[in-house]
Amino acid sequence: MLVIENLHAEVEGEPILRGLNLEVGTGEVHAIMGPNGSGKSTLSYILSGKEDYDITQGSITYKGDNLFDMSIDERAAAGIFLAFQYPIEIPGVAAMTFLKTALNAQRITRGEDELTTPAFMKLVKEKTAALNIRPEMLRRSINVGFSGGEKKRFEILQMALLEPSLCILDETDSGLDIDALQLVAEGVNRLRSPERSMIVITHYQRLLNHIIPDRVHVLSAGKVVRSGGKELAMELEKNGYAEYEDQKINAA
Amino acid sequence: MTAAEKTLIDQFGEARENLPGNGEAWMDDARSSAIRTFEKNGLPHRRLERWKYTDLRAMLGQIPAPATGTPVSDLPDHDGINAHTAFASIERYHGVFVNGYFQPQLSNLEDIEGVEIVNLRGNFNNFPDWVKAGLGNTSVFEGNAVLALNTAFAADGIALRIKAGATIDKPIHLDYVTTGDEAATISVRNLIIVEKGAQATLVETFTGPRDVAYVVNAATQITVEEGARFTRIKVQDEGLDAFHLANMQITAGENTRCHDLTLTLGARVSRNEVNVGFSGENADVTIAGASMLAGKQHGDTTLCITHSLPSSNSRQEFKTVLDDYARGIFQGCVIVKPHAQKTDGRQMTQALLLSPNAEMDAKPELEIYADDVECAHGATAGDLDEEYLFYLRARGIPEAKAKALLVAAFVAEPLEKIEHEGLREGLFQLTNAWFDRRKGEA
Repeated sequence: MLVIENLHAEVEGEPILRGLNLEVGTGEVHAIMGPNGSGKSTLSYILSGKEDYDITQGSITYKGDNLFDMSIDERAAAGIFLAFQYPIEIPGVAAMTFLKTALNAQRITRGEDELTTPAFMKLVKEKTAALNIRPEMLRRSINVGFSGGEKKRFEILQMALLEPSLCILDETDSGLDIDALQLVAEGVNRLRSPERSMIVITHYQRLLNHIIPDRVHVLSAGKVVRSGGKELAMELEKNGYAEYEDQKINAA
Repeated sequence: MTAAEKTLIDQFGEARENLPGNGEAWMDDARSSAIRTFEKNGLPHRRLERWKYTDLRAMLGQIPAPATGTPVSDLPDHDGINAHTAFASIERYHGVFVNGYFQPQLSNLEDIEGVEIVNLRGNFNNFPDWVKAGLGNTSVFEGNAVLALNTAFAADGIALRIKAGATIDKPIHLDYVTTGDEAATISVRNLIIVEKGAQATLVETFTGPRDVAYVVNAATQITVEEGARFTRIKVQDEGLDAFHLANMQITAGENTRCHDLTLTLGARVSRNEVNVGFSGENADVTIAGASMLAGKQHGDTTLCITHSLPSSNSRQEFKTVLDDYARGIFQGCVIVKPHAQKTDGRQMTQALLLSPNAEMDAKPELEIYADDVECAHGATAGDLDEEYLFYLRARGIPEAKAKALLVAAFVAEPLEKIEHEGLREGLFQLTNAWFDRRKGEA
């Protein structure tokens, strides 16, 4: 699904990623953990195509294609989905209009027919019920007046509707209480399938009690410094990131 | 005197005997007084503060001849989304004007319950007093050369009286369509009285051909009496070579609610002037608008709200989107006279510039002579938010479509306040289509 090789990236001359390697197979769930500033969010933005980063070395291959040849919206249509850590509010664009426009735009890009309004409404009704989202919420502007939990659930609703192949969840647990976390995790787990891969970025282990990863990677100073199974997350929870912070200092 | 000014005076001399009401002393007096005012002042120019950004004397080089009116049996085809088609499926009372002349055979304004209608090409002899008083009022064009020209040349128009206590069940749509390849000057004059406790919604739309430098001079005088509620929506979607010069005057009575919204999409040069006065206390007046301009369009919105009596609210809410070399102008004035205590006046103008070559000039003017008032104003200008764009594109929406959504979202706020669902939807259809339409026409 995804192969990242020796990725170096910087922002305004400041190196953030320094030789990152990562391979995510089809159907696998990988967790990326690490201290603040290790480059976790940068990786998620680079995968989705945000233009603020300079790639100085390395490659990303997605489903066999060079990811850097694809625009932001082409990547989305090809199945890459980033659930944002801080979903922004966009006044004036109704959430429902946005969902329908996004879904149909992706279908058009893929050469499929647009969904009719009744078919779309049926789909939305089904997906919102599962995430405990009130339909009135979708008549509002994107994320405007949504609570922290509602914003995260709205991200997961988009993911459920767009049915991506590679889901990247950037600190989806941040700012959620335990009930909201459970609801979001259930939503994510429903989307797990042998055809769909996931990258779960998190600072804390608690999300991984709900979304059990196949692999866990520790990111520090812009590269993967350790990989292991789900037990690695438990170890990090117990010992913290102190030893990896040291490596960061050494690297710098 | 410039050549254009001389042409106008000559044109009046030739046209006057065929203008409606010729020979009626009160109308003759009004027209003579109007042309004298014009002769004295000429076309407005940049040395006049209210015309600082729109130098009509420099811009209006050619004055097309006044339009001649013939009844038409069909309207030209209107393809796609425009101000003419956007409201076509709404249940409405429809009044069609072609080249400024009312077309009763295409309209259904007859027999609206609670409304008296007078066509200005009717028998001036029999005009009711309220029409004579409105049309014959020469004080309205003092210091306003465009309105003076309108009074001099007005060839047609409609006077509507919404009778006391009447609630008009459907919007009244006055649909001004310009046709033909020959440029002409179109002068329409409307008069509206909303009597005590009445409720009505008026829609005015303007459409016309591309590549014809026609001139529309439209004036509407509105009196809203005690306790009445009145909404007026105007969509200016003229052809892109046209001049559109408009004046609206509203007088709001005690306990009235008046809501005016103008959507400006068309014309090479447009000037939308709104003047509001009060005849009673506790009135609530909103003058709102959205302008979406591209290419070399020049769109001027000039407002003046004069609070001469206490305890009224006024709101000015304007959004302007500018692309390419377009220029937007907002001049908003609020005057609070010494006795107009407890006035609450607010003004906000916001611009979105999509191109480094676009220009917005915003000039708020507050003159406050009373001490117990609340008045506020704000003006912003900025470009498209990159974070918004990224969020939409990250969900698979192509860049152009994402921009179109954000541009429509920027102007949505004043449109959302329109209570009539069909009209609101029609307005959104127009703002949603703007991005694609302008690209197609560029």
